Amino acid sequence: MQTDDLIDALSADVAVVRRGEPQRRLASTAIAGGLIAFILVAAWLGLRSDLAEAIGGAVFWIKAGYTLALAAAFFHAGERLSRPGVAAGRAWTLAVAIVAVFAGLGLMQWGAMPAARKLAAIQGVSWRVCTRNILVLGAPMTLICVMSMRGLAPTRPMAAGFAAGAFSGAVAASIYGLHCPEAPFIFTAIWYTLGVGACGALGAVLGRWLLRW
Amino acid sequence: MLRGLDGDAQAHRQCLTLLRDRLRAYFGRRLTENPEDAEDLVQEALLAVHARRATYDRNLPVTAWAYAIARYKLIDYWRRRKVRFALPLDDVADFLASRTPALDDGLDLTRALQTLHPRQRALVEDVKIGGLSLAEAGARRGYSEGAAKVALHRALKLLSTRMSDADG
Repeated sequence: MQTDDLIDALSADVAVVRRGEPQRRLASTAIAGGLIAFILVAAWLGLRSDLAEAIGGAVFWIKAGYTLALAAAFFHAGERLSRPGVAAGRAWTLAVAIVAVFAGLGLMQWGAMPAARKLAAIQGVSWRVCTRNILVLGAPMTLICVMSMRGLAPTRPMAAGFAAGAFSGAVAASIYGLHCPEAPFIFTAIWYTLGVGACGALGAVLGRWLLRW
Repeated sequence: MLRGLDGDAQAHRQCLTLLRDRLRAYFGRRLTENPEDAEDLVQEALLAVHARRATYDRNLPVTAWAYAIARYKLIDYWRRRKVRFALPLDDVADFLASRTPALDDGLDLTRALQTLHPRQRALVEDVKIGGLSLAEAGARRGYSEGAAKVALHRALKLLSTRMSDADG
């Protein structure tokens, strides 16, 4: 085919393009992925028994605030990385800053605990499964998110995949808060963050293979 | 580009045609031994520009966006051909310097001009767009010829850094 024929063909039917297509796509994967994670929590893990009581307290919302803030930062990174020629440096910095602030909060709280409680605060009752659970909850959304990014134009597949995975992991971690009864912030700072990172790694691997266009 | 996004087919065709010339210059220079492959890449890149135009951020220069697509397609081509070597980042200069009318330079330039001091901007416009001589333009804006020359030089230098920042 001649290049000029191609241009003619492409110019024959020019639809109006709405603004913010990458944002819309990522937001709809969050709705789908969040729903899947919620169904998994409800059917497989079960909601925490004291949920009604916990929702009235600050700890629940600080944990949710942390994971939702991370989701926002990785959403931003994913949106940037879906556009050719746009840097995502500020979004990464923001994500690192959020982790640093929350880890700092967790350490302060942990430092003030009596020595006998320190190990228990880190391990809680679920430290062995927490990261794995978040990875399982976030994996479906990670796949959906990477597939959805294929229709955009990520020029750095692994970085874009990581952003998609970490975004999914952070959404899943927020939903996981409905199950997980652990209160110490140090617990969330370690195991939740690892879960988000594990989803990011999964996304990076998927991106490496799937984000070709 | 912007009018094409709003559904103006004529503007879209114009934009693709301008990009075609830039893409030919870009791929042609890098695949001198393979002119057919270069033309295939031009078509692939044009297709991507068309199909993925929703990923263009209207606040940024079109050139930077199209360049990143061209670069991605080139790297992808090498990956398929199993050629591995580093593509220097500074090859953006070739893309920007290819001698075709720029499709968004009007837009980028207008923005860059707005960042100048009003008197500087008036001088640049009189000389470079209005076509006045340095002496005439200087007289209108209250510079001596020598001072006008220096001021113009500074303004142009500033403009070129602003514009390359915008493309970075």
